[in-house]
Amino acid sequence: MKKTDLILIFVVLVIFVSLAILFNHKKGGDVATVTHNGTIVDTIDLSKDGNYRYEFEEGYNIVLVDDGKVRVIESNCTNQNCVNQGFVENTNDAIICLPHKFCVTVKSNDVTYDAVTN
Amino acid sequence: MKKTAFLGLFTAFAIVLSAIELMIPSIIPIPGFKIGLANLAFLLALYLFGFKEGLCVNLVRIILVALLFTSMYGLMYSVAGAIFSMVIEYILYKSGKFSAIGVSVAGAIFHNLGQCLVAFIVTGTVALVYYLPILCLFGIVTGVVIGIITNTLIPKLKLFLDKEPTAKKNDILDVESIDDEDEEDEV
Repeated sequence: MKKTDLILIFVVLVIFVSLAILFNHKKGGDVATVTHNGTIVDTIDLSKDGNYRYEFEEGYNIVLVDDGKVRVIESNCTNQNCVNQGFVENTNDAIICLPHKFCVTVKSNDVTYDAVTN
Repeated sequence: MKKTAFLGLFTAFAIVLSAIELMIPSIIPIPGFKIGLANLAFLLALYLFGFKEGLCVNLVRIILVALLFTSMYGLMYSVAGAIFSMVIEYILYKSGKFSAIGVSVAGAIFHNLGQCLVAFIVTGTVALVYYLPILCLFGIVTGVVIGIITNTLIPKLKLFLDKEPTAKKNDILDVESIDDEDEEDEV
């Protein structure tokens, strides 16, 4: 191990730890936006429990809202990453199903908060 | 010839590493989390032979792994991540200022950056960016481990490779010695 290695590791550690802290905000979201191919398909109110089914040419995803949290409970995608990810509840948490180009992002209704993070 | 054989071995090695990695259940339920074991094969090929050879090993591995184990949809992400990581690894390697550890860490981070970029282009959502820091932090850890393994393996493999040329020169000149060598290998 050279000295430059240590410097490199230290620099990237600092960068990504600070980014992680910056992105880390355990603040519950109010709505979940569902996007497919980058376009917003639906906005789900997280205060109401329920099941939502989305079908695209790539396949389907079933989203469950329970107690202010959201998850994908069923999908016919190839890797099942979206299903395995489980519940998300904090603002800017996202469940992404790459095979279906499907994404559920938790958002906050607080406008000023969004202006800062986005 | 020795080089071709070795590159074949490295490719097989890389495919096995990818297969092992696929068998490990995702400990962290984050899309795109990978240990990056196969990077080891690329680094070995890069250090022992060069960038072109490493590129071949890695690209053949990605295509074969996609055909064998996973679906083709992931190919785009793998290729993007691999190209990003390979280019930065080559640049750092060429600069001569870093050991395999630094090279490997940079590769891990750029792999994530490349995949995030493609995911952003494909899905059009920036949401994945929020996972980037945590993915990169894990990447640093796995990158250091892969780098240490590479650092220990390279001198040993180099020693093994450097032994060959004396025998190889004779082999090319007369056919008999090739037969001799083959027999030796069998024994």
